Amino acid sequence: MTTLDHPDAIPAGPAGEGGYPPLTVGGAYTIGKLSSSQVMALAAAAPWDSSDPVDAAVAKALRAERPDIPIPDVGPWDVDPASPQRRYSVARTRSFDMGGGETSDLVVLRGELNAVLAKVKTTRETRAVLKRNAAHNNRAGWRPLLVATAPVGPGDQVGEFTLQGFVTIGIGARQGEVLGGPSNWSRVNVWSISLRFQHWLNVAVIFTLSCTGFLIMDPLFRSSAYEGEQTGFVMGWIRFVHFGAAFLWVVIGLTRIVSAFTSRDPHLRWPVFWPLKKKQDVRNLGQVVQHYLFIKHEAPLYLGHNPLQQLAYTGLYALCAVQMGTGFALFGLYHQSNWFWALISTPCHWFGVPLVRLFHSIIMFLIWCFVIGHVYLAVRADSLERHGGISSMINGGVWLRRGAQPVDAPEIG
Amino acid sequence: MSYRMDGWQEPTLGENLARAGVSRRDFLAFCGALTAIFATGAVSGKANAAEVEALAAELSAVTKPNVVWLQLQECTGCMESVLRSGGTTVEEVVLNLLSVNYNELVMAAAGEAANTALDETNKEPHILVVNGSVPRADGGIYCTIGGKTAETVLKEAAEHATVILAVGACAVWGSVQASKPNPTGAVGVDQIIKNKTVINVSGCPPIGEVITAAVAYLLTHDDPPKLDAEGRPLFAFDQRIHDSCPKRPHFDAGQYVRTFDDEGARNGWCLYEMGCKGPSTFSPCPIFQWNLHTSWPIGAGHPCIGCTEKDFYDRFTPFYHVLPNVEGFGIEASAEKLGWGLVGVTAAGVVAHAGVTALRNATARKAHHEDEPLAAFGDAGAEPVEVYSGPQSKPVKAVVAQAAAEAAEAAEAAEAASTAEGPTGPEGKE
Repeated sequence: MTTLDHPDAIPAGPAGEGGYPPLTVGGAYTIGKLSSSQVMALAAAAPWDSSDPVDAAVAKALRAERPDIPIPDVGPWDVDPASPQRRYSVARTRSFDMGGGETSDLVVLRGELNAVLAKVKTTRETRAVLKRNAAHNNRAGWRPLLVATAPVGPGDQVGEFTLQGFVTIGIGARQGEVLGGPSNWSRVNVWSISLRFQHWLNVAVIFTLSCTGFLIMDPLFRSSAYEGEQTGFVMGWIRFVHFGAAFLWVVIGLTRIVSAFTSRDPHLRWPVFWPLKKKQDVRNLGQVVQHYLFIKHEAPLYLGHNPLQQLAYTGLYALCAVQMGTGFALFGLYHQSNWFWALISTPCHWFGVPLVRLFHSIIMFLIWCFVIGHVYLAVRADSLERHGGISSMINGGVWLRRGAQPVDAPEIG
Repeated sequence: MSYRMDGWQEPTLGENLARAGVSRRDFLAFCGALTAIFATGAVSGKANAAEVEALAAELSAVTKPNVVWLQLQECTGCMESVLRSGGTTVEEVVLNLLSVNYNELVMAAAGEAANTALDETNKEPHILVVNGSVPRADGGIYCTIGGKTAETVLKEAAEHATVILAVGACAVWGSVQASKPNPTGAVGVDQIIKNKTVINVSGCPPIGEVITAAVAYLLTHDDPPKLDAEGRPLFAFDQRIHDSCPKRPHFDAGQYVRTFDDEGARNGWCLYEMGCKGPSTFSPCPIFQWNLHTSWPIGAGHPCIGCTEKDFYDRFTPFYHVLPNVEGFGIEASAEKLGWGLVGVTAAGVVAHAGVTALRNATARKAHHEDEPLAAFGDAGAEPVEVYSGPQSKPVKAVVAQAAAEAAEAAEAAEAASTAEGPTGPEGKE
């Protein structure tokens, strides 16, 4: 076993010299029975004489993170480096601490994802999970160095290789971008239960209103009537459901207005509706737009909504308000002797009923466009940034990296 | 049934009607219909007997009113609607008895005599009924009567009018001639006469019964009737055609005519899909119908075109489509096409954006590998690693040694700090 005071230890120039690119280790992922620190230790299994920058970087990371775990000892003749023909290295280490007081002699394979995967026996599920995690790290600029081991039995009999996980290697200093393991993330509760409830109720109501509304605009149910079948009260029911859902929608809208003025949650209060309060906000808006146009790689980090997002949501609120207004202007036509409905229907006299119906239909399509963009951007952001944005609309919490500094919240601890 | 029509001979309307041969029974039936119309919102046709008696008494006691009935830029269809209703009606007799002073279409006088009659009636308080729009473009030359423009004729007649009734779509807002591009600059009566209430009896043409009802209302009531936002009397225009359409059950059942020659059309189903504007149009057509209840457009299998609504030529077209078209793209597109187009463009945008995102990720990944080949991954082009390179290059060893040195240094510094703190140091440490 190698310890810090290894007799061969001699001070030498710092790692990274001699033309190697400076390397950073992002973290270790375990997929077998070992802990992530043990996977990191296996990845560091190299002879003392190794000049490989990856060996150095992993050893350094292990030292920094877990000084209590020794770097596995590999004899000078017990290693065969990787090559373009065989893209993994083979090393033998002795008496590796497997946990629970158990030690084992192991052959360690370390190298490129597919090359190592070809050597191990795993289930398709394990492979899928590993590949997905590796791909995600890849996207963020980290290369996964796969680690697999096989026990060495008596008489140097090498057993079957087992997949243990991978460590991520980044080129250059990549501070702040480390995706890391779960311990690098902090969960922050952002969305109140009322907002989440309103959101999903809105989804249900807008879906119902869209389906019924489309059928009122264009009754597609046509063949049955020609067969002389009973159609019952089909349009009557469609309109009934449409009106019922519309009243519910207005109630949801009213509760949102009330909460904008009564809630103590700053994410709900009315000032959030207009995100451009300072010059910096406008600059951030520009950066977000450039980020989405692939001009800028980085965008300012927000815990809640970024300015572009908030403008879109505020715009949607306005659009929905117009939709309710035009809808009820049309609904009120049924009772023009009543002063209330006559007042609500006033826009019909400005534009004419058909034009109000046209607005009402076009806004439905605009809301559909919003939904398409909204779902896409939510899935995209959650996939790329891994902040759990989609589940946050269910459980209220988003995940941020420790040390992250959102524009709209204190540093995440 | 035919009545004798020899003008206003007796002092009161009731006596004149009796002279014309209108029986008490017919007159009461007529008053009953009027009472039903005036009862806002009630369309059962069954009016309170007392109300009918009261209206009959009031109406029959009316003495000869002065009525000026102008016909400006119009097709006389409104008057035809009343006169050619399929037989002589009490309504017609009432209208004939009233519209005697001046009316271009039916008056006996002509030329100088007619103009004199108009000028003299204009000087006294009178009821002013207007058919037709007022063309204002090019100094109003598109409609002149007796050398005066329609605008002048209207203004003179309105000066001493006690009440002004605009009858027909032309008088209400200009109708066909006021639709885009409106070459004659036609406008309705209430766009010229702003200082008096104008009661708009809308329609192209309005139903004869509604015209009579409006006149009868003015003769028997001191105040003008309640009006809607477009100046139409609520007693006739408080409900949409759709609300009392006899084909409404087919609408609710989802039974629609899809083409004018299909099974649905033969079955008399709802014309909604043929662009019927009944749901957008306020008018009592389904109740009164036309030509003595003979028929009406929807009853004849044609969708309503919304002629009682303002700007119906511009706003309710295309007549045979459910929604108006959307202009402004060089072509006219239907709302549904435009909507699906918007959705399609958005979806395409999302797909394109997702594609670029994926491409970016892929290139970022690749570039990463190609830029910095690493020997540990067996990358081609990586600098070969000397695993046993001797004492000159021992990075692993070096790292460990450096970390150990740093740790020792830190421990030393901590110890130095604790001794510098003096005798309280060790206790503080605990």
